Amino acid sequence: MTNLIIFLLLMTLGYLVGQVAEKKHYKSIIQREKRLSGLPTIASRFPPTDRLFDQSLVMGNTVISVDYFKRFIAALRNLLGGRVTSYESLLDRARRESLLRMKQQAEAMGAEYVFNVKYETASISKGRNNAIGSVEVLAYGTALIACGPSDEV
Amino acid sequence: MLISNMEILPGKEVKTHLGLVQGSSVRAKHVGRDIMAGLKNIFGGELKGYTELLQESRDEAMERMQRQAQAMGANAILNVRFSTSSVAQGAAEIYVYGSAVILE
Amino acid sequence: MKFEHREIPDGINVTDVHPLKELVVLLSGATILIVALVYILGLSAGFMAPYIPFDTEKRLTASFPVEAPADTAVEHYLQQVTDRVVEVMDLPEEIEVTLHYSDGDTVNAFATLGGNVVVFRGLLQKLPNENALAMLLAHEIAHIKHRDPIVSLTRGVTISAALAVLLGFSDLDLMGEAGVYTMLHFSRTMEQQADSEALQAVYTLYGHTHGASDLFDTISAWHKASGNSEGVEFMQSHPLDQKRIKTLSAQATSKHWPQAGETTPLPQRFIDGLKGQ
Repeated sequence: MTNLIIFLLLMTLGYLVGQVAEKKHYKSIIQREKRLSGLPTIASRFPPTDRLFDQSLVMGNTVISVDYFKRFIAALRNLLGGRVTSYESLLDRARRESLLRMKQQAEAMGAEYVFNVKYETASISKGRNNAIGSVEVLAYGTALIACGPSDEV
Repeated sequence: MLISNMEILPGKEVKTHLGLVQGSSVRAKHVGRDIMAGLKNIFGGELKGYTELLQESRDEAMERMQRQAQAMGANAILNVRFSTSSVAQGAAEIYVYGSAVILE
Repeated sequence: MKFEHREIPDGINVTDVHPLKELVVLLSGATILIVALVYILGLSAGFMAPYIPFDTEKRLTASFPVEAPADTAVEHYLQQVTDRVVEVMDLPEEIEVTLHYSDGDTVNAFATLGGNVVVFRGLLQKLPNENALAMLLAHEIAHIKHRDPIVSLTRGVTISAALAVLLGFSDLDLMGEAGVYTMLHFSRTMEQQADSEALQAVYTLYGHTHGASDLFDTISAWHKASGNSEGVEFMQSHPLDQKRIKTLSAQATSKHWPQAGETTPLPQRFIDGLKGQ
């Protein structure tokens, strides 16, 4: 009985806090994405050659964890199979947040573009009872900072 | 929609870069498949259930990436990369991303 | 190089379902899965286990040390009643009932593997007459006759193994509870069948079923006195006392067995023997 009460408590807490946190995070992500929309991030390896640029490696990482409620849903989903929706938003948030952090770093350098953007994902704190604890997402790329006059090659 | 993991396509030129697009999908197989895969581990060989699982995920992730590119008005996605991570036991995440561009 | 920023619509990489709706769907799906699995395994165990020879079952318990029965008035009398009950219960030939008397305050009696029935002093002291004692022994012997101990063991082992495989992947211990409650269904059915078999035996012995109600009234009174609230039937291995009494009296009525009659008192040396220890 006590187990059940603790479980229900954790579920409610996880659900309420998790939902609020997620909404808040998405709001902030969307707001920052708008602000940084002028800084292009491109997966291509070939930068524009019409000008001279300084280069610098920029990166942003995020470790994000899933709440108790979503973890329970994911465990149930593992039993029945199908789309694990509770992790989709988790990873979506982690990726966008990492990219934003990378862009913020590039912006601080006065970069004009970030080229060759790549992502790396790792799940940490696995092994404890096979439960999924948290995910790290790293976004990295090369920031191009204009330095020469635009007509030089 | 042209999808390629090259960044320069012979005879085609990129008119406009539109930025990164991405698609991801997390899927799990039901427990019966997990148990069968566990048994299969004794003998080795292809884990058909998981092959299928990852392929389904990959298709869905590609489809989502294309939807993003379409919404931006791109006609090609270049330099596409796949990455796979196992977020949970028996569940796999497929992530695919690339540059949305408008080709000449 | 030309770059143009274009807005990506939100939510493409996220499936739009309400988390609570998903919880309800998944939870009911998982519960149905587990209940169905446990039910099927439980049924098949109940079906297969009686085919385990009684000798094998006996060998399982042979390694446990058992106190040699003392030849006291109490045990002598208990054995006498047991013999009479066994006679009317029409047990299969290979099954042997061994009675053990335990000098403990526990208000309990149980049947276990290898045809062993254990009765505690605590329960015997509360019995009003021989009819109730006969009902009690007949109930336990009915369990032996139905091979309930070995069925329960087989069931328990297979079901917990299956649940461990199924839920071992994740921390879903809580879902195991659904399995446990499903298992209780089987033990309640066993109790009901044993009750009904015992009632038949008591009727054959005494020509009426007075002992049955006496026994359950005694147990019910003890439950109340000890503050052992019965709780919800859903979570009990035994049917509730009141329900048992009702079921038994319905059975007696439908078979036209008289429910009241002369009761046989317990012999004085038996009562003294219980007190003396």
